[in-house]
Amino acid sequence: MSAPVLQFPKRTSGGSETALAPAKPAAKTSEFAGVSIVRAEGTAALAPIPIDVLYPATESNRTELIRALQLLAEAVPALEHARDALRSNDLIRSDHHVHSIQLLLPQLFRCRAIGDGFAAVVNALEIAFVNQGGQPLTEKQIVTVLRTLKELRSRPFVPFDLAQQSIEELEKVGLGVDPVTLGELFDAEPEP
Amino acid sequence: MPNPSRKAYVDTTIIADALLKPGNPKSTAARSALKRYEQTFLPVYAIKEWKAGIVKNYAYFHEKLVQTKSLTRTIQIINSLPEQYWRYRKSTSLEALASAVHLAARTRRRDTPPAANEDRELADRYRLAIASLLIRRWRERRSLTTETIQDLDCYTESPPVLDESGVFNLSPVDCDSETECCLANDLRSKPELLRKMADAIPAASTRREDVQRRQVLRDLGRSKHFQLTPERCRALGDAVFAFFSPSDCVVLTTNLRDHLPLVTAIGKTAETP
Repeated sequence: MSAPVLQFPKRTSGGSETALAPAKPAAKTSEFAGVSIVRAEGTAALAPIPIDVLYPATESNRTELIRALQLLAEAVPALEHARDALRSNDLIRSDHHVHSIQLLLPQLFRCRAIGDGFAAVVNALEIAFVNQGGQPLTEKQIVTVLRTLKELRSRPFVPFDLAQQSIEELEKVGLGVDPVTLGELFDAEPEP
Repeated sequence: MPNPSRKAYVDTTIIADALLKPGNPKSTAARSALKRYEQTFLPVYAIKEWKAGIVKNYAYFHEKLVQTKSLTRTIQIINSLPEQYWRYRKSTSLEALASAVHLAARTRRRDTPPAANEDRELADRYRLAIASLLIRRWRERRSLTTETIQDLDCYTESPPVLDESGVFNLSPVDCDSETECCLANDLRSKPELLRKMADAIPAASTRREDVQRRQVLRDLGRSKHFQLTPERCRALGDAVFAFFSPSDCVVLTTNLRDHLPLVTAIGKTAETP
């Protein structure tokens, strides 16, 4: 008897990653905790795991998760274009692509039901753009933001503590990830 | 360019400015000042005061955001606090707070109050920003200076932790009250320095912290049986920095008004950023 095989998503052109492909007729399929487990004879059969099964989404955040992954799927290539444009010395085109990311961030923040780790990173990114005051990002900054977004796409349920590492990375490349108003709010009044 | 012959003993005001005032020129000034010296020493007493002071107030603000889920309401609560509980600025407008975290907020009319969902979103943005800042700056505290020195046996330097309800648990904030302050014997061993510092506090001052510090310095210098409790240790405050600062160091502080008389009285010096 062969060992159970946990099956991974099958990509089909133009289709959604969440679409279920039918299991091969020769294989015996069973369900456990919503995951298709296929006992395959010979070659491994392929049946996709829905994205909301792959990630531990709950009823309350499943919609946000799907929306966030869609938005991140838009953001990542846009930043890649921004990076490539900068490498071709086209600062204006690069900045244009970065600006399109900025427009996605408020929408991503609305998906914060996914978790505080996710929300903290998105918040830090938006604050960083506010603090940039329109100043174009450097290549190093673009690459770091790109890495951060890719990490977020692969680990949207990042715990809050671990998310701080991504935020620290953004800080290290000179992005101001904290609201400047905090420095004002927590500045003591002169004592009499 | 650092002067190799100079060493600084860093007080609480410097780490408060450097770590927890993002965007404030005081933060840049404090960080630049630390680079002026070849060696900078941060006593754990400063970390204890820092946590019991500005960190605790950040955590309080954060807790109110968690409880009210409203930035507007949190600001109202802070503004209603008596001066002795909240010495920070109360003049920052909601408009400015919104604009600092949210690009779209800049397009909202100044005279329009935020909608309920926007208010909640702003509360979440500040809640997350504060939690993130506290965690990152706590991690950074011991790398701000070239060395962290003078660990306190009676104090546990525990990090701020987010509990199950999403608010910060800062305990312990104070020293262990079961044992006497670990600094007590060193302080008692030099009663003449305690007396000089007590005399240096302006006699006419009726400020609560001056009155308490002067009294604890006098009592500690007079009697070997005077117990240095956590409250009295806290009241000593700036006098601890003056006393324990190594003789080849300057005390680096933004509060020269309080530090200078104390350090001068015992032959030491203090500087500001």
